[in-house]
Amino acid sequence: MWQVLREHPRSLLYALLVHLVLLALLVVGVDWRPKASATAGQAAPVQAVVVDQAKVDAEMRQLKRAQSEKQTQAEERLKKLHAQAEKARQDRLREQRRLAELEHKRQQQAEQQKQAAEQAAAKLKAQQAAEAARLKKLKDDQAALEAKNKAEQQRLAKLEAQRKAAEEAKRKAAAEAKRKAEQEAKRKAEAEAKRKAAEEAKRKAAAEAKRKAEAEAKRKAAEEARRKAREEAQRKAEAALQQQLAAEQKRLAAQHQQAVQSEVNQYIAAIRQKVRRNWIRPPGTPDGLSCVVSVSLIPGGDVADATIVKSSGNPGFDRSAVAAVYRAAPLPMPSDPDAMNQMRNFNFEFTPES
Amino acid sequence: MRLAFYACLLMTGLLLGSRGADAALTIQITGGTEGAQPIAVVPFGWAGPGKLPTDVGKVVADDLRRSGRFAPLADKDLVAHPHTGDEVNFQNWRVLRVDNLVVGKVQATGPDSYNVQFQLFDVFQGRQIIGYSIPANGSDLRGVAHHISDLIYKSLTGERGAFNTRIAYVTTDRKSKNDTVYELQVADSDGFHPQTILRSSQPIMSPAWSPDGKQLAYVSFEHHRSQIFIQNVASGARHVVASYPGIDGAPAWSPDGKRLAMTLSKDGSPDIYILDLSTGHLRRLTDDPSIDTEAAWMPDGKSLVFTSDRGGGPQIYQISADGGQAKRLTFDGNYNAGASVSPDGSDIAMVHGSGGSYQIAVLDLKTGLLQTVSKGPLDESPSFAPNGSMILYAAEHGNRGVLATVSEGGRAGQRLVAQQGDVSEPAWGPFRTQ
Repeated sequence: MWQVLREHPRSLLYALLVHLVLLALLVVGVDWRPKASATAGQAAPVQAVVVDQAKVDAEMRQLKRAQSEKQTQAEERLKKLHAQAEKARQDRLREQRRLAELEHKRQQQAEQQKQAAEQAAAKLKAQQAAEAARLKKLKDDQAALEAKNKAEQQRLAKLEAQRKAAEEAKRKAAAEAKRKAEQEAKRKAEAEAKRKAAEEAKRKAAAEAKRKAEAEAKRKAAEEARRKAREEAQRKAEAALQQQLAAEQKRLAAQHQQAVQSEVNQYIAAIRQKVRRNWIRPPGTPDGLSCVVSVSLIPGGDVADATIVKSSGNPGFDRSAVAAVYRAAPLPMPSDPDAMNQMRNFNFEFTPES
Repeated sequence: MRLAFYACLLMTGLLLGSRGADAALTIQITGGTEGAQPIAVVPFGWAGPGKLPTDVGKVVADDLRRSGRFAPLADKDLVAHPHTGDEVNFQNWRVLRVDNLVVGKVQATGPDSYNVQFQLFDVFQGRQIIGYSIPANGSDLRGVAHHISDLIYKSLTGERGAFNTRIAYVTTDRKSKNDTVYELQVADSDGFHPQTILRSSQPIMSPAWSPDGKQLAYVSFEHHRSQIFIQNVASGARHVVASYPGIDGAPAWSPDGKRLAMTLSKDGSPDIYILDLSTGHLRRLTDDPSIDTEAAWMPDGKSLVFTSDRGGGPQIYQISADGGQAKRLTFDGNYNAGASVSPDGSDIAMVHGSGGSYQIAVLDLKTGLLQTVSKGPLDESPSFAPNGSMILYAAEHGNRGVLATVSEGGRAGQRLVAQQGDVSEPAWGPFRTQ
């Protein structure tokens, strides 16, 4: 459209002008029919000058003529305007047509392009087909060639076979002669060989039997080893489990034992103190004496038995040790049954010096 | 099969091991207190007319106390008075914390004959250790009591008791200025039952027991000179064995009883001589310008110890019985004299003077340590008991001489019963042959 406008600026200007005029008329409310023409031309301003009649008449005539002229001029101008409008309309129509033409042309062009593309595609397809055909032909040709080659080879092979057969026949003939000549010797040799072979076979059979026996033994040994390994593994697994169990039991036992031991140790200290307090050593006993007293206690801590199990060699010293144990009774005893059991029987070792 | 056997073995080992572990609990006892063992000796019962002639129980208790090894309960602390085992309630005595209990009784079996019965008990174990029934006549009851003490001592200490032994000593009784009576007396080991075996107006000195306990050698001035006599204790028969010019003194029997060592000054200064009692042969042992005297035999009879001032002051020396070089043994103090050798030959008791005080001291020959065992201030003439457990010596008490004993190590010291007059020169006799 801009192109159109650029090409016909005058037409546009005119069109715009016409539109503006029409718009103005509408606003002012002028009646386009002939009586409303006062403002449409460049009417000269009225000059009210007092004149004589003649002059007035003359002026009136003059005016009438001028008015008439003026009327004519307006009509002329109106005509001219109509013509201009008509021309503008014509122009617009022409422009529309031209545009239609352009559109048509464009469509035609598109159509043509499409057709051309289709044609090109068709052509390409045809080309491909042709190529395929060419390739097929090429292949066929090749196959034919190969077949030919094969046939040729077969022919050659046949010829060769024939040639060989001929040679073989010839060779056999010669060999037969030779063979027959050698046959006797060979027979003898064969007898020997046969004998030898028999021996060999026998030997081999024996070897084979031996081999088989060995293999069997080996197999059995392997089997036995496997079985043993399996049993060993099982045994080990069981042992491990047992060990684990034992370890756990041991741990629990150790825990208990620790508690017991702790109590026992406390009571050992108490017992030691009490016995020491009650130990009156004989005066003048030589240095380096030592004796061991084995003690059995009853639950209350009283001494059931106190016996010298390792004498110092000095009866007075030994006696003082035994007396100390009795004198210290009842000995402190733990209440825990296990701890008490540990304290049922034990030894005292008496030595004057620490 | 074999595996099972080993398993068995292992199990057994474990069992034994656990038993062993039980038995392995050993509690160490160290320290303790050195002291006399508490014992209760109940006064012996009496079954007969009148009063018990000898308080046998008291003699026994005193013997045991004097040894320093036992601490008999005081009579007031005795909770009961049983006389036989049947009457003993051990609990009574356990409460008193006594280790042992002695009960007994004396029974009249005739006009002057008795039967003494006693039992020794282990109080804590509630069992009899020994029990005897011993016949005796009236004058012998003290002897029987000492014999009982020996039996108790032996069974409780393991050592032979020396209670039933005798001692000899000299008493000096100054009745007036010109009337002094000297007596050689023999008594029981506790000083009781003294018997005079020699009376003289002149000094008597240095009694010495023969090893068999039958004879006494001594020095008497009865002839206004010193002479050495040997007298049979039982019969009173005696004879002179040394009567030389000058000093004749300090006789000492060899352990085999065949020789007598003595101090003689016949050749100049006093020296040690040895007299062979069977041949009368006299041999000079020391030859020194200083004073050598107071010989005592070592138990093996191979050497003697004696006092000599060859080093300045009196000190103890040792010399071989065959003579030769003497070896000085004492170095502590400026006065060490009057040696008595312990029966086992390990110790020598002597008078040890220092700072004007004279005490009995014991030299340990193994360690060379000298230990004072008596208080002084004027102790003299130490003599070992035949079991070595005590030393008898003379002490000054209230301006006169008395006898005292001290246990080895000096823990228990006690004066013996007071004798008439001034007591000196004690000598403890040997064990009595059974």
